[in-house]
Amino acid sequence: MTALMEVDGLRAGYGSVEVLHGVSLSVREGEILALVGANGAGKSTLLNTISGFIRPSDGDILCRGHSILGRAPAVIARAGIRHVPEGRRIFAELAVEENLMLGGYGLDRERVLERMKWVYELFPRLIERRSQAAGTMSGGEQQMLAIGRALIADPKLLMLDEPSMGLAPIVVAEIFKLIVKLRDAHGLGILLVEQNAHAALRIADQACVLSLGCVVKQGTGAALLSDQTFIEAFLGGRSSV
Amino acid sequence: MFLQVVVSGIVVGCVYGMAALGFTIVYNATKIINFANGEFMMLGGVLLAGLVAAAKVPIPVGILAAIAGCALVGWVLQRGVLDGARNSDPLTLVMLTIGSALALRGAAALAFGRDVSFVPEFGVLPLVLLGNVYIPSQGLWIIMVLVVVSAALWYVFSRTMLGKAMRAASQEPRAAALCGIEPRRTAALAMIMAGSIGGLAGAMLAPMSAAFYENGIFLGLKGFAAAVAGGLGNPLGAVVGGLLIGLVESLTSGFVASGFKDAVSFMLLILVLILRPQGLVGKAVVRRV
Ligand SMILES: Nc1ncnc2c1ncn2[C@@H]1O[C@H](COP(=O)(O)OP(=O)(O)O)[C@@H](O)[C@H]1O
Ligand SMILES: [Mg+2]
Repeated sequence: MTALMEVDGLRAGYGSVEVLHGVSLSVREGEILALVGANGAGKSTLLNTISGFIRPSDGDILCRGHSILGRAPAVIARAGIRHVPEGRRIFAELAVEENLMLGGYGLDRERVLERMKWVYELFPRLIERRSQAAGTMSGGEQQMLAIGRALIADPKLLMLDEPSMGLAPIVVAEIFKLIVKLRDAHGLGILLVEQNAHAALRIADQACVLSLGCVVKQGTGAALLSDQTFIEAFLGGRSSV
Repeated sequence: MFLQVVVSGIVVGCVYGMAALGFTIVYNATKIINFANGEFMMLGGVLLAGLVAAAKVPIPVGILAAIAGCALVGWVLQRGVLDGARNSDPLTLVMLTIGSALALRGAAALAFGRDVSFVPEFGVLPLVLLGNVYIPSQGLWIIMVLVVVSAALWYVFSRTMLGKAMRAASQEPRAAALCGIEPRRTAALAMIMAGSIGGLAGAMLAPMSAAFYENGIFLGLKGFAAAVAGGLGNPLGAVVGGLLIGLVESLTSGFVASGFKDAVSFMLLILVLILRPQGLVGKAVVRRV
């Protein structure tokens, strides 16, 4: 089976500074790929390159076998790769429902309204707040909105950049439960970037460890979790959530 | 006498409101204050004057040409100047709009001369006399056009997906791109809209105050003040701000002295900003992080 999305030997960075030194990975349908690694390893840079904000200097990015290299971010988004950026980046001055509608910008309105119902089922808390300015919500609600906004467009691949950042453990648990549900009940491919490596590995099918712009370890989530040297080197042996 | 002063204040206020709408549109789509906005109005006036007086073009055709010309200038300003620096900080972009304003002023002086030129009134609408208060025909035109244009803009920004996409792109350009919106396209569209409305406003104003290549400076300042007073980003706020400044100016020159009108209207702006930083019509944005 061809992968939903495949990154092959990707080199990219900012100006003359290369941050990613030949990264390869792939995500299949109905699979969670956890990408873990220390702060500054290049995780966000990788997602931004896949989304088309950064032009790689070498390597290829394939979406179901076709290269999406050089496409504009809006085009890549419409091709079914949806990126929930680090820091959520909701449209703070617009209402919650307007944020969701914009997730389906350029798509058939009937279809968007249908998908919106589904997103409200996933996140019932957003219904009560539908006409409230998005910036007035709590961090957890904003994260749910950011994910909901990406789901409106019925993506094939969802890329989440540190969805647990700055959230209370109980909210993080809720969001992780939802990620699992999206995979199991809806068959989405998910690329999950996390600092919270333990929690991410526990739900991941596959996992990659990124260090200084290189993939230094790859395997199933369970294998990485039971790898004692890896746990000590990258996670400091501590467990959370 | 008092009512007559109020009426002329309203007409002047509508002109300022039109000037403010351009700031509102561009701010809504990019969060940039476009100080070349007054020059769109200046260009609308001199284009119409050039076409009608010199080239003997019928007025309606001249107005359409002024609108189209200013829309084109707006598009070139966005694509040719601002897009090239879109990764710079906002202050640089604002400086670029000021530079572009100076360039447009110079270009207008070269192309149309440094003389004041006149355009006949549009006519068609009557001069209305209510008791001893009269509303000039050109004033009626300006009021009507402002009502239509501001209502249309309010609709676009608060009811249509395109308008919301423009606002989204100004708040979070990257997140907007991740939703399939193209921030460069919405920015260009906003500048085209601001250009056309500026061109229309300048053409409407030309029969009342003559066309002159230096008109853009004061129209820009008044429009900016009106947009800020009303609450940046809100088309109805732009109109309210424009009316307020127009009325205050008119009352000041009618009952105090015309030399004070600018000082009084800008003092009023400062007062508004102290009492209601979000503007008269704006909603305060509460933000949690
Ligand atoms: N906009 C930028 N310009 C220049 N360097 C950047 C930029 N963003 C990130 N970097 C650098 O790229 C490296 C990787 O950053 P990032 O991808 O954000 O890491 P992570 O998401 O894994 O924490 C870091 O060294 C960081 O300083
Ligand atoms: Mg990051």
